[in-house]
Amino acid sequence: MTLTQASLPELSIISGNFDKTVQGNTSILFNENACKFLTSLSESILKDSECREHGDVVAFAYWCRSSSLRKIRSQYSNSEIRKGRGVVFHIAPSNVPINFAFSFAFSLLAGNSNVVRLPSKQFPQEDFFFKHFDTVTSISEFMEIRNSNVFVRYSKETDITQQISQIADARIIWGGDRTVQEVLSLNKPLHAVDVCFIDKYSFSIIDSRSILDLDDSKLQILAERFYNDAYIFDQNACSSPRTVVWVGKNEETEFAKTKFWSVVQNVVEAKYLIEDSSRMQKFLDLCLLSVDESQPFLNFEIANSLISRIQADDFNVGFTDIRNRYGTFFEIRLESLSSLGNLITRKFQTATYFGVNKDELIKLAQGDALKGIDRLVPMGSALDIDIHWDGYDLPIVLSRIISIR
Amino acid sequence: MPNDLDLNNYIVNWNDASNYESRNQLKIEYFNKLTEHHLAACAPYNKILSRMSNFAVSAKSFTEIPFIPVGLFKHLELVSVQLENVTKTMNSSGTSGQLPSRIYLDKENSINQSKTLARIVTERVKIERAPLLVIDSPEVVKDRNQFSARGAGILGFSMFGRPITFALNQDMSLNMAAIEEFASQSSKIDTLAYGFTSIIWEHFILKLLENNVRLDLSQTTLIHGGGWKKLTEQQVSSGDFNDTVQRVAGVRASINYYGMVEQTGSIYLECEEGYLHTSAFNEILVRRGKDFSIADLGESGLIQVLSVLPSSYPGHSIITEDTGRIFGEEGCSCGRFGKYFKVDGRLKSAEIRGCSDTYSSQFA
Repeated sequence: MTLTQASLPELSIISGNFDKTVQGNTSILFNENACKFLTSLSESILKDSECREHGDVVAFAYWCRSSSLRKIRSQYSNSEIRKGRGVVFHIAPSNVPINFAFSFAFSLLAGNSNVVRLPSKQFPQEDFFFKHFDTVTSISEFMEIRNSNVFVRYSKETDITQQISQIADARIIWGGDRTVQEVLSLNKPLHAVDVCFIDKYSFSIIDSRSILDLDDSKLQILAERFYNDAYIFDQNACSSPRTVVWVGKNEETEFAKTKFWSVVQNVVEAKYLIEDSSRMQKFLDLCLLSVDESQPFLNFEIANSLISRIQADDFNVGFTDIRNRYGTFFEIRLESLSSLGNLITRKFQTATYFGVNKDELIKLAQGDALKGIDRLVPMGSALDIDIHWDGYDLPIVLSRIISIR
Repeated sequence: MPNDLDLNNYIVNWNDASNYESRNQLKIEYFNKLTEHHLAACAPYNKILSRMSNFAVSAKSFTEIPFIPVGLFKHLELVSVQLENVTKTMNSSGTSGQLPSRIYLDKENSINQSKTLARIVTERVKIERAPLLVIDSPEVVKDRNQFSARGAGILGFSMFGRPITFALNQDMSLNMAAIEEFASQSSKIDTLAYGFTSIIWEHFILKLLENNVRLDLSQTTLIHGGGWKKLTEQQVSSGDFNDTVQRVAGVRASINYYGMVEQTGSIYLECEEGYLHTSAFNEILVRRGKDFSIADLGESGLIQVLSVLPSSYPGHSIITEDTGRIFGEEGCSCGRFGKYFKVDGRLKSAEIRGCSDTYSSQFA
């Protein structure tokens, strides 16, 4: 079955070539041209002084600069033949501006042709990205990139998602439970694979003793990192912490909490802008939490719109369903990290940590009882999207192996 | 109902009080009694308040009185009487795609609503009983046990009306015969007209203009409120509205009011100077969204409404999603007492950030 741009009048092409892309040409994993292209794109972005306005695009450019790609590439074996699957259809989330670019790059490195559906809302980062994408792909060396990738936009009300699904060899579905469910209900070829990013829950692990040992300047840096993880997306990102797990003795933990939160309070006060409607939503959320019988004791200060802390005994089942946001944190204290494993469900994605020994984290990750957690990263790195995401090794999932004996 | 929650007694004392301060003192005491009553009678309300770390049961000023978000009535069944005593349930019209608020009324609460509305309005228009033109369809008030803010308003105002004429047909088209008959009555005696602002605009004024009809209602006082959001979207200001009503229907006066289904009855009337005023039955505060601290005079913020009426549900102190400004107390050039204020509009819902697209539906 052939699908053409002409047959989809409601489809707008932002960049690239639809008709050639859907032919589904593939290359080998980490093919030279894709790596060179991303490196050139990275250089082009970082040379542009306007990039300072878009921290998230800079993060993307850093991720795909030459040395970083080399490092990623070195993690994969050269001894087997892996090729792209064909046409990968990306459904980018509507609320995280630069996510589409990462999704595209992961799949390009896996050797695929890509149809990327951009978020319905147009962010300024997007224009900036395409300025450089178009410049770099106009170089003859990278013409092929322009011909095997396309970025599109269309209304949800059309059946275009269905039409593209029918010719896709793989789909990458961002946007949480409901979007995933909607797209999964659409037909795709039997051989096609889906990579689904569902709603997930994340938390922080802090060693109480280590907080007490910190001097003021280091604590300040840590608080800023925590702020970035939690507040940049109103605590709505899947990888933003919603719970803080304190590890330590009761008394030292109480001291550590006071010390930590007072500095976080200053950082949030200086940086966080909460819209009044979100503030009202947060007040409503807290009132509704108050009457929820399944929730442990909580107590909130209505005058403090920046940090609301809820003291809990453990990860209640309900926690993963309650999407606390706009700076609302559950807090749990554990005597040691070893008892954490039993509390983790499949819905857990990221644990950011501070002051915890890496060996202990490895032990936790290897524990038989552990059902969830896809990433354990230092505090401050919660939002750093990477080629390993939600437990998927994306270049591997998005490619197929050809064995020759 | 505790005996000391006697509204009549409160009003008598309030009227007898010698000055503004002592009246405010009486009002604060009455609000405290309401807080106490709802704490004892409404378990979820009690639970919410007990978890707010800073609130006062015995407030010494209006600002200390605990408040709950208006959205709570959309999510919880908040009742302070036995369910079998609930005689009416009111639903807010709710913007499309949103849950409506549900307000549970017993007999006493609903009588107090009607009586209070009558007191506030008669004090202003000095008319006890007169022919009333309801600018809406009779459909809206068909089911008297279950109705909307629009229906509640009509029923409340019907107290003044003898007889009552509906200006619109079932399908919201103009009932010209009825309107003309009312207009002919109105040339002889004082009459009243009432309706929802957005309904009057859309289905009455614009239709009269379309049909090139001009009315002479020079003895009629029009009282209207609600649905301003719609008019603001069409860029129709309060001034535009009044001017056009005057021009097309020739009414003697057009009085805007501010009120909400969660506090039906204790409405705020607009004075000749264009300011809304508090009365014995209500109070207003404007808070900063940032930390709910009290905004300065003239500073825009979130409107908190307080009403002495809600006894069968804990709605006596609510923070709304409307924004407004208070300009002063006792100083309005119209000469009336109380705080005078303006409503600026409704909060726009915030852009949702984060990776899950459907996040907004979580609590919606």
